[in-house]
Amino acid sequence: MSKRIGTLLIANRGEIALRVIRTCRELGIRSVAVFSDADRFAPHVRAADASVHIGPAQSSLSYLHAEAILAAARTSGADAIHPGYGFLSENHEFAEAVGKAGLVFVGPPPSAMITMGDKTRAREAMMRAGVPVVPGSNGPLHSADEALAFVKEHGLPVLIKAAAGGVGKGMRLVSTIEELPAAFETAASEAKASFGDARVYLERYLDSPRHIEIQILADQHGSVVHLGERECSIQRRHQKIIEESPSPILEPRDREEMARTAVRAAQSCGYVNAGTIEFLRDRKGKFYFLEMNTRLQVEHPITELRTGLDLVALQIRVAEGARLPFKQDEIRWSGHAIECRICAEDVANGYVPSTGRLLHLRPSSGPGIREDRGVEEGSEIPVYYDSMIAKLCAWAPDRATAIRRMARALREYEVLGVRTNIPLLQYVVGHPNFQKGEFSTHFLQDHFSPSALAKGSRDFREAAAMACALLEHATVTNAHSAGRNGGTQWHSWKSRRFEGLH
Amino acid sequence: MPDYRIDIDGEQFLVKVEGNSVTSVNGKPTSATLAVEPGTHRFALSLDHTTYRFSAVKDGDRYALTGEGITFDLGVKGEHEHVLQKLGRLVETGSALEMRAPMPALVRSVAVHEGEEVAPGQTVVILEAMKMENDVHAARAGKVMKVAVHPGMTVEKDQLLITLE
Repeated sequence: MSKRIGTLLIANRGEIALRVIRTCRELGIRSVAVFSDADRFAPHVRAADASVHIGPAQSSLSYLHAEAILAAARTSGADAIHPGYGFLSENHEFAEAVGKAGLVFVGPPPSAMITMGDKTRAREAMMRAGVPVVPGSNGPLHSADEALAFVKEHGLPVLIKAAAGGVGKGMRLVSTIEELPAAFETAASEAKASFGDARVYLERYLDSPRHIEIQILADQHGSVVHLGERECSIQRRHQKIIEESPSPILEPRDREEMARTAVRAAQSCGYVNAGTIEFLRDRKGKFYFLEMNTRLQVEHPITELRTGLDLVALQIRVAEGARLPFKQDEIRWSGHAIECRICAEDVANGYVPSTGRLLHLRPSSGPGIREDRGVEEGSEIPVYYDSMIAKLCAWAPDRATAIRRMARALREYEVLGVRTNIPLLQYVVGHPNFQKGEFSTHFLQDHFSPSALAKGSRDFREAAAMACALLEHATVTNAHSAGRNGGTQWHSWKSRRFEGLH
Repeated sequence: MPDYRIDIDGEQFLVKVEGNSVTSVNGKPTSATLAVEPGTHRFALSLDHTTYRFSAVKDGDRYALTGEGITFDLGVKGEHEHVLQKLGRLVETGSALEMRAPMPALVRSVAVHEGEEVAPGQTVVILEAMKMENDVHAARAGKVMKVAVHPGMTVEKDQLLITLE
């Protein structure tokens, strides 16, 4: 059943909305953006062929408001919806509603989202499919006694996880038998409060694991392929900040086994479209299913850089009913790609999100650099959504060159008006352990503290002070001689253009 | 010669500026000039034979500056601010208010005439000193009793400019 999509509504915002719109332009598909009050002037809104206002700034009233989005699809004449990532992308009820409205949902069937969306159900499905899972309770536990019994069999430490939880949410680490009963009770009541679902299950907590995930792609005709792995071990509180492909640790045989397992996992739940199977790999090289993300991932660009493929275009073609245009053995990988997530946060002050206006933004470019960004100079970083400014990617023929390239690109990237985590990213990329490929999800815990952030040399700080004094002096001089213009417009009091600047 | 007090994360720099150049930093004789790329936030500081490239914006009363991947948040206090605070320096004699020059200056213009009622904050005289123009504001409302200066004349420090009733 092949049905060409004529108009695609993107039920998202920011960089991913812009990303999907760009592919729409290349495919000749009419794009429709949706926007909240806070995004009226956002780049993704201007980039689309049409745009529909869907509500106030709060996500629950706009980007999470399914009825508003479906209404926008009706008004704009969209025949398909791309959910992006986050928001409603893994909400099977939304996917069902889209289908019922006679629209194409660019993503997997609701049944696959149901199976993989619930952590307990996903684990059970994987075990049935012979996919290794992190030793855990097979199903939710109903009492602290059951939790104790699990620990007796599988050991410590364990994670108590909410069945309805998500990334980093509803998880609690227990390292001693004494703290287990109380931790169990607290976790259950917190789960009830946060997700409306008190079910919790236990999982063995792996020692210094590495997070390695496999990108899969499946069409509506039963063909499932993998597009290689991404290593996403550099995380802060379970939020990824740096991803790379390929993983520096995997041997070819491990890679094949992981990839085959991922494909089997996808087949077992009748998966269609793009998805990612996440694994944890322990120190001995054993890997275990962690979860499946039934959507496009934030870090998909590094897979695109290595394969030369446009995953969004493939998503759209699959949703239209087309067959995958290649077989597994026709896929080619090239070089090494790294992605750094540039976020508006104050690393030195507990990573507090830094909101405000991007007074100055000058991104990096040049050979091997890809930048995905949904804000621009002059944009506000609002409080309502995530703090991501841009995804900065570097591709090179080998890992060492890619790291050097990323270090260069991070130095080039300029943001003023909000604080960013660029200094943290530079620190990681320059760290010997990272460069040797020796790290786990504990990297930041083990190797980083805010005092490690570079402060610039004494000479540089002095130069900055001098520059500032001269700027201020120029401002004051101009303000007065121009008859009180205010100090923020700098006229070229020295109008000589500086040669050779950048 | 204007002084600027720059604060970077608690570290203080005292920078003396003359015209378009820095002449000393924390007492150490230094020579540096600045070139701005017009219409942008980009500029380059030329110090001895080294060039430091930055981008910077003024953010309220602070500066945000970035270069080579390092970003600074700077506080700036210029001596002219102290001067401006002193302008409109008041010497109350009885109920009359004598407004005097805070430093030697050239009288650029006189904005009021005798008998005129002025409002608080209204500019009464514009002085020029250190290549900067400085407005002298009436500190309170009142009637101008005496205008003691005229445009083009130089005044000494503390010389009487205007008397308000």
